[in-house]
Amino acid sequence: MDISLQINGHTEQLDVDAGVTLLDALRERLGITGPKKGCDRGQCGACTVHVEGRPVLSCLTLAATVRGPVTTVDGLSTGDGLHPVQQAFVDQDALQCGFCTSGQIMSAVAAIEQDVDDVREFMSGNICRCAAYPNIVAAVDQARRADASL
Amino acid sequence: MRPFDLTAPSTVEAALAEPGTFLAGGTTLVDLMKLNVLTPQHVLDINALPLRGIDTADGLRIGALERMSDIARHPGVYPVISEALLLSASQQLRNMASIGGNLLQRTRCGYFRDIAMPCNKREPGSGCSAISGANRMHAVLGTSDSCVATHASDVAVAFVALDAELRLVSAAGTRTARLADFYRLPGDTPEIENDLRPGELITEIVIPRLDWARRSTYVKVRDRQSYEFALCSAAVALDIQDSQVVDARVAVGGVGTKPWRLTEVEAALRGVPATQASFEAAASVAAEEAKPLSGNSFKVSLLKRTVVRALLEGSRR
Amino acid sequence: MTSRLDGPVKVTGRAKYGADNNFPGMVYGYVVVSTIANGEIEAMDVTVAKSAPGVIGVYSPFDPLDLRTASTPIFGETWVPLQDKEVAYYGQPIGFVVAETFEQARDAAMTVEVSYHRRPARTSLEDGLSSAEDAPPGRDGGPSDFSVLASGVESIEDALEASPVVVEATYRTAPQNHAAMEPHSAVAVWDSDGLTMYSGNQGANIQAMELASALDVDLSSVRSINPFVGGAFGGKGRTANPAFLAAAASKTLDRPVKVVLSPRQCRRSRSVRMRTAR
Repeated sequence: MDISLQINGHTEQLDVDAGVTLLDALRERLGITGPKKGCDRGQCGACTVHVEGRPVLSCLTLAATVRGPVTTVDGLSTGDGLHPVQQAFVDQDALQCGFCTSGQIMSAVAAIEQDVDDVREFMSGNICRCAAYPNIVAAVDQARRADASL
Repeated sequence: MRPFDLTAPSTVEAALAEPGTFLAGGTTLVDLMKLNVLTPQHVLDINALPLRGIDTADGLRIGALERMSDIARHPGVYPVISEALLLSASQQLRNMASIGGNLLQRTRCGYFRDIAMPCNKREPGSGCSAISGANRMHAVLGTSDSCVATHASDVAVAFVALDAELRLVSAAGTRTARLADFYRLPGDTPEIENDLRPGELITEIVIPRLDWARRSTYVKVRDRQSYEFALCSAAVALDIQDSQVVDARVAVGGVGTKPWRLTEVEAALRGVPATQASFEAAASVAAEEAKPLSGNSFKVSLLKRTVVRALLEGSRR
Repeated sequence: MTSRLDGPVKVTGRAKYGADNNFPGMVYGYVVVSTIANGEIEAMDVTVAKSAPGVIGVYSPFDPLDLRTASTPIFGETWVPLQDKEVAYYGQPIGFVVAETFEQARDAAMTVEVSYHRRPARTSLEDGLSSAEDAPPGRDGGPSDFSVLASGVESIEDALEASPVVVEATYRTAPQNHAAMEPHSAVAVWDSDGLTMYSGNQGANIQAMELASALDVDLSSVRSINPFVGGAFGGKGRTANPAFLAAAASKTLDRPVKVVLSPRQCRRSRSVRMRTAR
């Protein structure tokens, strides 16, 4: 099927089978490897991207059904600088191996945009096996305070 | 996955004219297609259909394509429903999953999800691996010799407690079904989970108005604090006046082959003082039909305690 | 606090883990695993897989890839897949399908039909103790069973007898899976200099040695590139079966090969921490 996807502000044309997931379209056809395949079955969150500004799991999304713009961690920062959430993750050491980090950041951006009350609960769809959780929460707090002071 | 065609009808009429499997959020269908548990040849992406809208003017009317996260944050939704939604899955999944699809989700039984294992629900007649296998997450209510799989939806439990109805449409016309009756027990035919007819589409979920359901809650007991299915859950609503229970709704999840309404517990609650002692007495009849399996006998007492806890928390709203 | 040097590349998605590497002409492999715990394979029907769309190679014990048991001074022998029909555990790799896309490889792999001669599954450590064998002697010739005594102690039995208090108990640990976020994976590329392997591991030199041994090539012709690992916890210390399979298939097909294990395969199809009882 010929499909057109808006990824990180660029239009991409692809010819894919109906069963190709958004995750595999990004990683294997477009070389956008920020989103990770941690489980390929919606249980870990490492594949989290935004579609129309909302976090979703790209491993359970068929590429051919995507209608709105897609943002991945690769597209968060513009130019050389880091997005405030990315900077907060660095400042608070909110990662170790880094494999879950792409998905954590996409969920964190939404947590701040939606001004959620319970950050831990909101972020619980992103699993981390290095147990960086406390630092991830601290990073969200830092980025949220930075956001509030703008 | 087996090869399949994908179309995207933009009207209900067009969707009903094509035989095939409907795709909404994809959180059940894409998952099970990747495991070859479901192998549709024709898939219809129905996300462009006009089945949206949340109306709280008189009870609750929800378009079948509304996403779980949007319903949960909508003002005026009864607490038991929004809590059940917020305790489900993860925020990403709640953004993706439609309410119609949530009600039709398939069981999480590991044997159902593994095509190398015998499973009567997936392959009628092949046997039930769970009865003599790993069955800690499985049901104690509504089971049969053919199947002991739990129904996994949280919001279905809340809907059943509140007498929800489904509006359904097919080429033959429209009809309404009471959700509690729509779900089937496994019996000898565990592959038939509900009354959905071939080619039929859920368009809307309707909850009759129940003002005292503003005092309601959903309690979910599970191995982790979040992002995990229920070992046992309870949806309750209480009409309490002058510290007396005038009326109650109680349903449980995580323990039944379908969401389980506890009418005996409701009857035992009517006219009693709203106290822990009364709640415990009423909940003592919650598990009379329970049949434990080798790995889940703890669910029998957990079920009663979860009901008590939900009644206590609900009574404090 | 000093911040991580690799923090910026990880938070921007630029850090390349094994499976993030893509190459022109790359093809995809998918592992077929056993569905019995003990026995042998009688037959494998790969007819549908071989003619499935995009498939360029189907390998099995009946049509194996060219691999020898790897042997290194550090770890001794490492089992390599597809070399015989024995099945020692549920989830053991028994086949490998290579196709132009990941989906084609996965879907073709799921069409492979296997018939087994099944032996009773042995799932209890304690039940198996009566037929357990002693470990082989050490590679330096030393015994497999020896005592280490503190100075002044002539025998453990005597020391226990002389103790005022003796506590006896059996302590058990369950099997554990490492469950790292990054599934085991491999991208193998050959050129005139030899093999380059991109595969999350805990020791590039160990991986290179095991691959060189399994492929029967000079160590100098194997490069293991692994700047980032998505968690390991001990589970990526040895070369995982995707790397052996990708390397051998890539050599045969003369195309880069990428393999990623599914979560079930990560749990069942590779080594885990064993159950213990003492």
